[in-house]
Amino acid sequence: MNKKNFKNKRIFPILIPLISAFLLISCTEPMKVKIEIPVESAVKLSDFNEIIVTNFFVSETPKEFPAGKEIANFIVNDLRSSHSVNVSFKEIKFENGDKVFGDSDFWKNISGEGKNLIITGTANIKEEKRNVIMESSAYTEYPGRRIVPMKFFVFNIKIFLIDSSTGSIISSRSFKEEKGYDTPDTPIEKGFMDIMQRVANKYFKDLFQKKIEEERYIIY
Amino acid sequence: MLDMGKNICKNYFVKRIITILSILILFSPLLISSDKKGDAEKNLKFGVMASQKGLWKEAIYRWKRVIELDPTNWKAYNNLAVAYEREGMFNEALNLYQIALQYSNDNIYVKKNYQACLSIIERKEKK
Repeated sequence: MNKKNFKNKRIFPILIPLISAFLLISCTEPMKVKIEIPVESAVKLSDFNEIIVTNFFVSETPKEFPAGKEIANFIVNDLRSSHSVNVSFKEIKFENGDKVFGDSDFWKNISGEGKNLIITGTANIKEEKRNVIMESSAYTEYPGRRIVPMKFFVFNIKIFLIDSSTGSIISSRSFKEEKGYDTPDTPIEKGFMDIMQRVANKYFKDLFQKKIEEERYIIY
Repeated sequence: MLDMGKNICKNYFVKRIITILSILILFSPLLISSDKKGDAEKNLKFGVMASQKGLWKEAIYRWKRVIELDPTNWKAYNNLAVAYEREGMFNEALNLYQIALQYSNDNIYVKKNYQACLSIIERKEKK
């Protein structure tokens, strides 16, 4: 060791804090993480004993497709798979058409005792044939622009959430969704599943458990 | 003369052993605490790894353990607060951030977390 290096001892008071500061910084490593934070949702599931999903009132649907019941089945399965809450189905008769949604006594009576959440609504489903201009690349069988007949499914759905203890609507939301297929024999079931999945992602995902993405620092 | 020399040697060794033993006894709490700190550091890192893999429940358990072992570990308070925020326990998280700030002498990253958490609570209260 060269003793000359240690002769100038005045450097130590400066060096020691610097080294310790460096060590302190190098030991604290922050890691930026993205976390999903639950924020207050429109409807608190914990306020209700059970969710009751009814068949929907359907004003128009393609032949032989029981849209009212299928929508309810879809919602029941979606909620059962994503939430740990009792979900049941109840079939109701829409004798007065869509006027029933304003009848609070009707909704109070259908679910019996306790505070339950009723999910119901209206639906209108249409099949349409449209000619669409499509552009194919030069490497396909029919290159360039061409008119293609497509089959479209157009869904108009309105979902109501009703508090069974008061019979009043606590939330309602309308959706207009459509999806086109270039195969004219696409069955309604295919269009139904695709569109309902879209509705479920838009509506139910945020309805009971809204989450926002935030950044935080984890330190080690 | 020989006996005297032997006695001196004996005394010397006895004294040395006593000195070593007393040092050990004196510093044993420090040794134990350094062991605890080592365990705490291991748990802290384990918790971080668990959180990276999305195992937040495990991470919470680990960071709580760190606080048990080393109640001044501000990193654990900070990380636990992040996990609590993820669970929607904002007030608990805010308290933990405050403790972390105290022990870390207002670490900049803890401060950022604290302010973000505070703004969520304020937004909630406004609603």
